[in-house]
Amino acid sequence: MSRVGDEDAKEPIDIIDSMVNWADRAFDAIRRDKWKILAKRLMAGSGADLQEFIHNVVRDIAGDKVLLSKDVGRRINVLLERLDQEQQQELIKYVKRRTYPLVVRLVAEKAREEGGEQ
Amino acid sequence: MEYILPLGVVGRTVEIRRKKEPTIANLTCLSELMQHQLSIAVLASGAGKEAFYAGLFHDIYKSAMNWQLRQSGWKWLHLPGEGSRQEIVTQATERFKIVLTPLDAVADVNKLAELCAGHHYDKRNPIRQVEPEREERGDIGAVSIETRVPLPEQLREIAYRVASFVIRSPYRAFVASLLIEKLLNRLNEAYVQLFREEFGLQELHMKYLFRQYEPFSEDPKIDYDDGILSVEVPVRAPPSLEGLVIEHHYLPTLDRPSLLVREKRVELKLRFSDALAFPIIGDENIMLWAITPAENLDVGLGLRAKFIAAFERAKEKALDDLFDISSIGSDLINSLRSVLLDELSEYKLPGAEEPKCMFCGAKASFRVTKRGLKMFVDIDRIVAFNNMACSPCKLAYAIEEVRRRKAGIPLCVVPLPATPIEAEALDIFKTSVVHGFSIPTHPLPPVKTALEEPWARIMSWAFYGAVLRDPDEFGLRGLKKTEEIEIPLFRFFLTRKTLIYPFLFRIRPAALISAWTTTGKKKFVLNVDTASEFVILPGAERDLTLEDLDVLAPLMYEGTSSLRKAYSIMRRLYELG
Repeated sequence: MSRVGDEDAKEPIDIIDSMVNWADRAFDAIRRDKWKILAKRLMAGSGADLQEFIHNVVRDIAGDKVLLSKDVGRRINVLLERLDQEQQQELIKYVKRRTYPLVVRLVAEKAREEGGEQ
Repeated sequence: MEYILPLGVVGRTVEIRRKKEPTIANLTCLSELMQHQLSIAVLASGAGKEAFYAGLFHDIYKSAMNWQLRQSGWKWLHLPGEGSRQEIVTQATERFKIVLTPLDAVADVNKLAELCAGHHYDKRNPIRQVEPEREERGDIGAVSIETRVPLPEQLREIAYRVASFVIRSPYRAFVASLLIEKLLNRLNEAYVQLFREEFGLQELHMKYLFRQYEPFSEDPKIDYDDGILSVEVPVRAPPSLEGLVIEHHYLPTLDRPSLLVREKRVELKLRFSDALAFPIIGDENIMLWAITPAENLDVGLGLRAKFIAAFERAKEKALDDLFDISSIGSDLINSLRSVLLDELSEYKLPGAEEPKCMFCGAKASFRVTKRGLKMFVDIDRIVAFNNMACSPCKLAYAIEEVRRRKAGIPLCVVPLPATPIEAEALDIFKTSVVHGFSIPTHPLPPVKTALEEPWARIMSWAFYGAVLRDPDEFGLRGLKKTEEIEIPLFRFFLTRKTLIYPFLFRIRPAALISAWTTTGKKKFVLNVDTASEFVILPGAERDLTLEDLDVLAPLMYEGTSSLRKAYSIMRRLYELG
């Protein structure tokens, strides 16, 4: 892959979303604003590589309320194997620069996949 | 096609070439056929009633899309006839006579038909005089009246500067925005009054009917009844657009334009002023220009003077409309009334001992608040530490005081002419209507001239109308609720692509935006103003920008519920109000 694109950029956002245990009662008061919180944390996030970036953003949002499934692990591995260090940094920059519209797209596409409003 | 918003039929292209040399480029122009004809009608009207109506119909056969490839490139032949130049003019005159017969109650149809058919060939033809042939436009003359800042002198030959307001502070920009919207209403009245008195026209209804036919095998249908002019124009189209109907209604009384989009039917209700007036941003001011008759034709000078007098009266009425706000005290309104126009038009510096406006630094004569500065949060916005204001800032402050307790972030949006950034012919047009059609000849962006500025403004208006509600009594607007969003318009908002048949235009919308945010009981000075063409809507922490819209554009292919979800999350994420 020579350049990262929107599809690549939505993947880590989706991974981070699925790692946060939004169903936990600790999030009751803020669940309505989960996408805003996610977007702001993504924009503020940093990391030496993609794995660290994902880890830092998840920790910032969720503390210890984290879900880690085999599927999420596999998706992170796919990204890490596909992208070299430089491309991972490029992807992090790409996500941070376009966080808001990418989150909007991700939510809309999820709504379509789930066949209704989320 | 279902993802594209059709708004009209293209009016003209622009050929660039030096005298007697091959064409350098043939560029697409952000021009809509009826709007183009209407503006030419006004320009040519100094030559009489027939010239006015000839302007309205001279290019009507362009809808036949009779493009022919010649040695110098594609030519848009739009006079129905064959043979030599003289034979074409003769045949076209006969066709125009028949088609324009319903106008015999109001004009000399023979003369009218001759003017329409001869608009390219007779140098004395008023249409040709206001719309010169390319070789008459100067050295490399193509875009002779292109608007830019500083404005070219030629603009004064075709338009009148109705108003110029200094917008050095957000409050001034806000009041200027309100006044321009009122002015557009009153300018519409002025145009209609003159059209009725001078030419017997008070309403214009244009209906484009898309269907398959051979060039010039069908004619427009015209009906004229007591000032109401209705035109049905067949537009030569590919099978996939068969049955599409686009209606433009120019109406004498209309508070604001409206756009209705249904499957295969688009209805645009406009004021004449929407097609003939346009605001432009200058260095520190916003100007409103209105197209007038050209002076150099017969009675053009006198007619132009009539238009200008009517525009000046419209300005006085617009000022009355601006002060027609029930929730602001009549004493304040009376004292603002006499000075507002002057102070908004000219930035007056205070003398040595005179108070400065706390919001813009101009000469101030109105007290803002007895409670002093402690109620303000945005101290950095305050330019003089007192509690005095000039009349525009005082009025804006008073409106803000009344309105700020209502929910939501109020926006005042004055659409400005959009910039066309891409144009390409529909693929289906190139394969099934005009085979191999190719324009522009160079990968250059499309162009617009002063005559197209009103239409370019309509495009920005349609763009913002996709997400904004109609203005309230103060001229302020809020964002539409999710369920109020019209999906075809929202798709246009995301893509900024619209069909001016047969070209698909992508635009960069523009607007003068004023807004303010409130938190709790703290008072904020009006704190957002922009005319950057980059910020689409101001957000709480992050603005929705053109760059963001580019990322959002692929959503156009999503279905209704996903798009509504996207809109709802967009509002919440950006905190747009």
